[in-house]
Amino acid sequence: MKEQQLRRILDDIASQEIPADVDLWPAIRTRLPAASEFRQPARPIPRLGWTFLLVILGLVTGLTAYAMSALWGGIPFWRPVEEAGLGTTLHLSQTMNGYTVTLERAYADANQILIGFTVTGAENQRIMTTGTLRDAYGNLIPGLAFTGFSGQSDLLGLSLPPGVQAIVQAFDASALRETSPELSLRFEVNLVAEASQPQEPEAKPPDENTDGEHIILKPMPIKSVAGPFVFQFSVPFHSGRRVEVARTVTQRGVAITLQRVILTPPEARAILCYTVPGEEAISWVPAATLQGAGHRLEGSFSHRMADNCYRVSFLADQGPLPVSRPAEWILTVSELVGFVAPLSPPAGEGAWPVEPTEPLRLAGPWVFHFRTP
Amino acid sequence: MGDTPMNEQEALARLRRGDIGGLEMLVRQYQVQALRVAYLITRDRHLAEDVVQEAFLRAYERIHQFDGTRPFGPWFFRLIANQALKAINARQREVHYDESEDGMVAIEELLPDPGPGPEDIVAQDEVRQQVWEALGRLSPAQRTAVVLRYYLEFSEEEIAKEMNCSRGTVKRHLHDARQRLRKWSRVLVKEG
Repeated sequence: MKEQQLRRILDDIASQEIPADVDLWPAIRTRLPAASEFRQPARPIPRLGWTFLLVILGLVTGLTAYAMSALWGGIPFWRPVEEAGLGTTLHLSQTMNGYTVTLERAYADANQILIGFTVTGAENQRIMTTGTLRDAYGNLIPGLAFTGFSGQSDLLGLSLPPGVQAIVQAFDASALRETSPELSLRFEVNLVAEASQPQEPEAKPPDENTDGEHIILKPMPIKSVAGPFVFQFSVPFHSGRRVEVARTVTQRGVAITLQRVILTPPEARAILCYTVPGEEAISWVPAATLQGAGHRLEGSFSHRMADNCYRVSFLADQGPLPVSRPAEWILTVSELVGFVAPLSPPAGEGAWPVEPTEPLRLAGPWVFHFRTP
Repeated sequence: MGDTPMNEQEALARLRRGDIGGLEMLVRQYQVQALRVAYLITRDRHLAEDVVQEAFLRAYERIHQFDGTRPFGPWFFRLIANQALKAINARQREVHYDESEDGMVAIEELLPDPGPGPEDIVAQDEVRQQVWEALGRLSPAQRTAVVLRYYLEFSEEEIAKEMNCSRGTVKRHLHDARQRLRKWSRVLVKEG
């Protein structure tokens, strides 16, 4: 048999099982927000702290209110907020060096603070943004996730003119020291561009006998093009519903405690605490679902906290969650997925595994029932 | 793999800006072949889908590690092969974990017995079935080498580079694979 014949046979085999009309995009798209948080170290820009340039105020926007509503409603992060009509329209613009940043929307609750903004003027350049958020006392609010959009997507039903980017950044509201019905915030944006093509090595498959290949991450060559754009504003704070569950379920010798759940219209956030015996070097991430009040949500963000606890976020992708009416809820941890390698490089080191070692899986389920009064 | 299409450059540029529309374009362009590569290596449709989804997400997050002057396809298919190999290893560990009370289960025990092959190949379906079963008898590394060499048409040098081993190791993988394909399926692949 010639190589071409074998290739044809392999193609026949694969084609029989995998039709040409397969579409993985919807599934991939729903996983993007989770990926954004896990891989935050892959975006080197926020570490740079571009805080030394002047502020110039201005006002430019070419987008109508109707277009803005369609835009934010189309971005998965923001959709439940838009659907519930909870976002605050700000429409604050500043222009600098030909670039205009417009703070369009903001939303704050007990889980997250969302900032939606647009950048215009980047027709012929790849512009990246870094946004930082501080509370009224100047405390930095940690970022949770970032999503950006430009051009057009038939699937999302969105289209933006050339040179316009729309960005939604999510910040962790649990870091707020104080809350009040109206939150005062300070949002700062810097615009940077790639100075030249990066010359970093490509990711390669690891040797079979090693845990994975390491590459050295060099800072991407970038230059500041405009900023900082500084916005002072206030938004209503939605406290949501906090349910202290404090229940423990044991499976396979592993006891998981569901400490609490905080329900807000766009997100339910659960705090799970557990220790897997004998595997101290492994970080065990929960794979969880939350069902109740007509919703079935997949846990999309998992963030390891202190004291062997994980914060798991369930984004409301089927409409806003009801927080003011009684409902029965079931939180199921179907498995714990163990990663040997750290998800981010050690502090001060520029090397990290290209691929974490293959995950381990510890099957559950751990099932928790709770009720919102 | 051919020249880099214009729309691919546009997709990559958008991806570098963090624009998911760029990722969508790449998914539409590469998902079918990527899924087929992953399926040939993992032999499991659902596992292959997981592998490909994960690979696209990694591409999205690590696009700044990719040299934008090169075509995306070869880089991405190497990522797919790498992820598929890892997925098989993870599954082996998963099986080991689930069966821990009864001891470790060798992956070979889970594969179908190919049985005696016909002396003459008379039907294409039989050939396909034999090749499929014979592929299942190969080690994951051998199967990956076969898919890279004969399905994606990578050179031995490229495979050696991407599997991070010597060209001799690749030649041995391929030679062993050909011998096994011949033994188990009566399929003879000529030395390339």
